[in-house]
Amino acid sequence: MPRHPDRQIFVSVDWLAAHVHDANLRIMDARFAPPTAAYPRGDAVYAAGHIPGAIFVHWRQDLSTNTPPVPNRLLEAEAFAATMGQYGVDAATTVIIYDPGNENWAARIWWALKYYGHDQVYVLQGGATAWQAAGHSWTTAVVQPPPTTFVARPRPAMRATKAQVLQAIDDPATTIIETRQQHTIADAGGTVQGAFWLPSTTVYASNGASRDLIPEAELDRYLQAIGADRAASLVAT
Amino acid sequence: MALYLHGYDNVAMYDGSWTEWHQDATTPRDDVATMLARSPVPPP
Repeated sequence: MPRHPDRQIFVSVDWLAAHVHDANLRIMDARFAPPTAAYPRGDAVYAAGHIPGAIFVHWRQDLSTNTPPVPNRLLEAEAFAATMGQYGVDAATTVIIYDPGNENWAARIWWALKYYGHDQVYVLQGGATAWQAAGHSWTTAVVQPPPTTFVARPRPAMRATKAQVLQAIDDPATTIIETRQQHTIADAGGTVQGAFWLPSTTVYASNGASRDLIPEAELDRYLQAIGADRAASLVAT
Repeated sequence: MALYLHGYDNVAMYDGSWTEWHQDATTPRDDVATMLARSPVPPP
């Protein structure tokens, strides 16, 4: 598997502070909590204060289908493109996404933009927690980005369908990785047959109030143990 | 995202695994104990 050690997904709070007013920059506040959580709703958190220039993006309400029988799946291309256009994102836009600092929800939107072909997208390392801890400016001002045109160019290889997962179960060249917590898997009635467990929480290490990804070597040891480094493809659930 | 960052370009996310898979009673599944028995201990 070719490696890309120079690959960049994160930007630092200092980088963002230096570029926060760049013309082609769009900042997305992806702070989200399930409705049952004690944590306030993401839009309420945004209204109370956010990084200057940021717009609030709710991955479920704004970027997901919310119709039965399968809610919370990514919008189809046309709807996604229309939404990004309303957010003022086009091919020339660099998108920075942040969440409280756990990177889960920012990562979801990062994946969505990547899937639809937008490469200039990064996650703020440490999220809002790191930004505020560094003493950078904070505002309640709401911005209205000028609408533009986003062209969605899906990358099918980044998304697996149910049919593909069914095929993957019997495909020795594909490794299936389950990322949920044990109790969530149990409550849902099990995991995909043959899946290896790599909960999303274990790829992070605490860094004060926020989290960083664990060192590559630590993740590599696990991936080698499950044969992921030799697999032709991986499916993450 | 962690996999992509570390150079794995061949990662597909099953968008619907938390709902679609479990709405179909015929989908092949493992329970937690079976999954854990197969899996190495994740990074700490």
